[in-house]
Amino acid sequence: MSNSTLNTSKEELLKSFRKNLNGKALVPSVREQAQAALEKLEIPNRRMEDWKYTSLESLQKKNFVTPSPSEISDVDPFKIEGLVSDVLVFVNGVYKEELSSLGLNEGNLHLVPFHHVKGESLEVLNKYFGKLVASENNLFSAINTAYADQGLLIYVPKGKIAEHPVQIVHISTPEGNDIALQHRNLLVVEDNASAKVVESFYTIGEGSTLRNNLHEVTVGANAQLEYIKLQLEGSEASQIDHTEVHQGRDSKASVFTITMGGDLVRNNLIFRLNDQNTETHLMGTYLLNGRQHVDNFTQVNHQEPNCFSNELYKGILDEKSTGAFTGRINVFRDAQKTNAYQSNRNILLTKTANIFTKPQLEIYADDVKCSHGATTGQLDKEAMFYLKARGLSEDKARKLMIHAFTLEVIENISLEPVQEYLEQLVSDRY
Amino acid sequence: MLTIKNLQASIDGQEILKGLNLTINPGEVHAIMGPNGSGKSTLASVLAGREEYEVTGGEVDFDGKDLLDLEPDERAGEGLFLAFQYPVEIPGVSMTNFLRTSVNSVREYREQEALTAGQFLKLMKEKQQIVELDSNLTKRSVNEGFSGGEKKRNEIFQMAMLEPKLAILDETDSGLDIDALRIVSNAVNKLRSPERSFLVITHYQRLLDHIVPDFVHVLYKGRIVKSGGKELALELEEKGYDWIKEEVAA
Amino acid sequence: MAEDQTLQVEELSPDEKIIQEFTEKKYEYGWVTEIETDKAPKGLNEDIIRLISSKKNEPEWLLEWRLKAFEIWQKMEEPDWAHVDYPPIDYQDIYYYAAPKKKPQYESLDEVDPELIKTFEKLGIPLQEQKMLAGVAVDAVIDSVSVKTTYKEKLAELGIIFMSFSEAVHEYPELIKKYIGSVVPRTDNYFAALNSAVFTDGSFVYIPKGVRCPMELSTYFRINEQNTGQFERTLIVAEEGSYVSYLEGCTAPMRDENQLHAAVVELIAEKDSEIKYSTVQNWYPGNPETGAGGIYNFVTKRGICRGDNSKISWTQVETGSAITWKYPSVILKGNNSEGEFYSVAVTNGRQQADTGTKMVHMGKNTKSLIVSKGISAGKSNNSYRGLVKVMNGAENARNFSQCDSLLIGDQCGAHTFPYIEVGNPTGMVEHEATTSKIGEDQIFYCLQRGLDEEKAVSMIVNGYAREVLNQLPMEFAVEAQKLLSISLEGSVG
Repeated sequence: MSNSTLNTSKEELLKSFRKNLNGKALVPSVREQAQAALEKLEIPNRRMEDWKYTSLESLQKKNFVTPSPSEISDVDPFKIEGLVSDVLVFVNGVYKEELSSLGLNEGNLHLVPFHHVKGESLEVLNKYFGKLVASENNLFSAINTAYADQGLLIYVPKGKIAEHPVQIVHISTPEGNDIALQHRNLLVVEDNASAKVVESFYTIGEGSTLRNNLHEVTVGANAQLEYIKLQLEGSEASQIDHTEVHQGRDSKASVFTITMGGDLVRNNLIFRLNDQNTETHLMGTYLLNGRQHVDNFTQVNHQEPNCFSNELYKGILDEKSTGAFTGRINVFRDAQKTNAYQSNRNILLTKTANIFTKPQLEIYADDVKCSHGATTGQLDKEAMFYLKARGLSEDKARKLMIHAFTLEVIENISLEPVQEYLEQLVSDRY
Repeated sequence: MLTIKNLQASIDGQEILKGLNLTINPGEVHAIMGPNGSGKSTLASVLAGREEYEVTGGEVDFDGKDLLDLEPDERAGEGLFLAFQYPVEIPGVSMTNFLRTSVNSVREYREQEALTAGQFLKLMKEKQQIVELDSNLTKRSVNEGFSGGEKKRNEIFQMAMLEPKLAILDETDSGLDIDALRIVSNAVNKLRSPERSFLVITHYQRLLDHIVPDFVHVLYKGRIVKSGGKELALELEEKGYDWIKEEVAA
Repeated sequence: MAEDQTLQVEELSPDEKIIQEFTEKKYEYGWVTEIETDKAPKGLNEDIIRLISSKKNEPEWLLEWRLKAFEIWQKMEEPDWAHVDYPPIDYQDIYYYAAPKKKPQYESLDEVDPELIKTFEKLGIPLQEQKMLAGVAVDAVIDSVSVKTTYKEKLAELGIIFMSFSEAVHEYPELIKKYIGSVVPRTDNYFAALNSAVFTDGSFVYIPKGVRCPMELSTYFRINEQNTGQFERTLIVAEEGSYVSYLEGCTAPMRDENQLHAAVVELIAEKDSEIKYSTVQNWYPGNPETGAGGIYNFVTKRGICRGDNSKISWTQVETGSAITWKYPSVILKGNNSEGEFYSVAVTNGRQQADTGTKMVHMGKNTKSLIVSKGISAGKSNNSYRGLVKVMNGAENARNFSQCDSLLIGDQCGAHTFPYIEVGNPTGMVEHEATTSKIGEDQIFYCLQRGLDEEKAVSMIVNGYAREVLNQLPMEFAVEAQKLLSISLEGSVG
């Protein structure tokens, strides 16, 4: 592909997202910087090391438009059964107050859609917006910062414990069109505070979507966060998700990325461990079929001593699906006593599925314990035989094995209803 | 041979040895006993020169030399040997290679000629018999895949090879079954001589049935609180440490 | 074992030597040999390539081949993806041809320039007849030109061809024409294209069907002349059912400027054959404090297991060079073929190494094994970069990779960049990597047994690398161990 067609496509892409910026931008200076950065940025292509295994050409062939307003009456099917939580619903990127239910964490947790920020929440927004994710080297982040007008501030002030989780439900209804959507979360858990957030993505009806999400997550000193993403969109949904987490001293953060839906999905998950004695968990599982292409790109930056990180991503690839995984652990010069572990395990179910994995260690401190491992194979034949010898059919045995394989990730989720919900989804799939 | 005066040492800012005095003459066997956490292994580590321990006071004279002023390898050269409580595994380094480097380093320090390959092998064969060590073990990597008993026998074997003036046995008996204990003790007894002294650190009296000490000391809260002959060990075995604690408290 | 005494004596003497020589340290191969050389002018253009070709009396087809490579090279860009950092190379400031002035082919040792013989003696190359009894046939390449191939006649009796590349071009043009560029095409990468345009010499090995080469074949490479690049090519062909073990060693004098070494090695293993290729690389690493000088070692090495049941095994001990950029690879085309890569890479001072392997599984039941041990000290950076690719048709492919890094001191870096691409569900690929530092408890244990700190580190590091060193032929293993110790001199304390 020549440069000129790429540039045209970039303009098209920007046009898809550059919509009604509803008058005044929230943090104008940050927006302006991002808009300026857009000039220089290219659409990522496979010649770039970080995009070696994912091509966006299929997206560039489409002409995405801004979705038209849409009404949905019943969102219950999209809520996780048994999960007592605050619920926020976004339809085609727009917050739907009438479908949402808030108030369980009154006083401890502030949930403010960007359009409603004022007073204290505006101060928080100004303090944190655009501070974690730089626009200079990432086109999609820059687009989000420049043009996203919908978003959610999730704010837990110092010392507050959000007793109940927050559930954010995103539904898109392309109605036969190709639509482009953006969402942005500003998730701030201040010192000694604690929160759990479940964010899920669904599609209703025909048509393709391109979703460009950005999440800036700050976890303060001695704070705790569990953040679970469930990507369950339709077979024509593409998603670029960029999440960046900064952790303060003695904090603990876990991010789960569960991908079962979507056509082309790219997840960037970046951790910056800015202070000592932090604990980080990156957990992911991707169960793919059809022609799904899912690329998980993760990076853990150990910048200070005595931090612990553990990463486990497991994938099952069926039919003609493709999985890509990049796990990068960077240990900075001063980050002595770092413990960093990483593991990526994959099972290919067919001859037409592909997996590309790049587990990487870049280490500049000597007193560290780091390891990574990657395996790719098929379901353990011995175990399959054993199960069959005990009377299970091929299909049942396979199902059981897949279930067990994914459980290793899912069982780390602390919210039982979410675990059960996922186990059901896995059972339904295979 | 070894004179410890008012030795004080700490680790991570916590004081463990709080003014320890001990004199060992050539050929003597001293046993140090004491409850857990009394500072027994700290004493061994400080004498051998482990870096993590900070000496905060006192002095140690080893045959006219200021021991605390020497590097760990110089202490080994001077003839101080520590049989480790937990011998370290060094993957890929054969016992033979390791020991030959060790023996010749120590010989070099003592201004003795290095052993030739033939001399060394002869010596090794001879000393292996003392500890009934399977000669195959010397072909393996240092301590790697050795059983607990093999590791301890290996320590005594190295002691025999290096011919120290003072050997410190740090809980050499822990984790040994009775046969291994017998083999280790016999080996130590064979190595006893009028010139060589031993400092035997142990939690249990049973080792002292086999290696009979000239003196027994009780270490408690970083000091030697009671000294006596071998009968003291029996008394401790019978009565435990509580009466010592009471005596100290009184 | 009754005979273990004699066995152990043999085992021991190398270690003894190492320990003695450990005290000598520094880069001990860094002298310059006073030999008159015949140099082409600096710079790279078609005329220089024509000159090189005519100096070597090459046939027209080879000149054309070179010129085409030059054309390709001019259109390429220098790669920048490796984890190394160096100032731009001025390719016009390099001598592309420098040869000892005397006639480069010798009938007997008497004719060899005495200075050269001294050079080889310093290198410890067994050029003398009595040393040849050790069973090593040697081809020596100095500043790009082969100066002596020993044992040629004896090998010829078995039909084995072992000679300089230039000679082979004349004596076996059909073989050279058939295989040159067949594994590493001119278009492969920037440095391979450059080599294809300007290579001056190298070694050629041909093992006929069913022949087991009775001795180690070995080439020593040395860069001598200032500002020269060395661009040698090695081509090894193992016909059906044959076996060969080949070893190369490299040294260069200490210079303040950087020198470029861009070699190409191609291995072809036919059905049921085996090629074992070992490298002990000790090019001058540059000044450890300032980083000045040192060799840029940009090498393309690749083998193809063309026939079923064939095997290619790479073993490398990399201690030298300011920058190392090399990925000895195996294309596993034949069914049941096997590829192995054993590597120890030591970096100290300001060295940078980016090295690893590629294992491309194409045939059924193919197997590959990767064992990489990186050791970083000083202010150096040491990266493992490797690719394991299982193609769609590679049923039951197996790979296991173990990549360990050891850090000595807190100013160095150790990195691991594996790429795993699997397109067949029956493929089983496992990668494990760990990074650690030398255990303080291990060092203390050694100190307590009277070893000083440097001896202790040397011993622990050699133990750590044992699995790889064991793959080397005995006498080279000794040299390699020695090199590891020397390379790490001054890294502790």
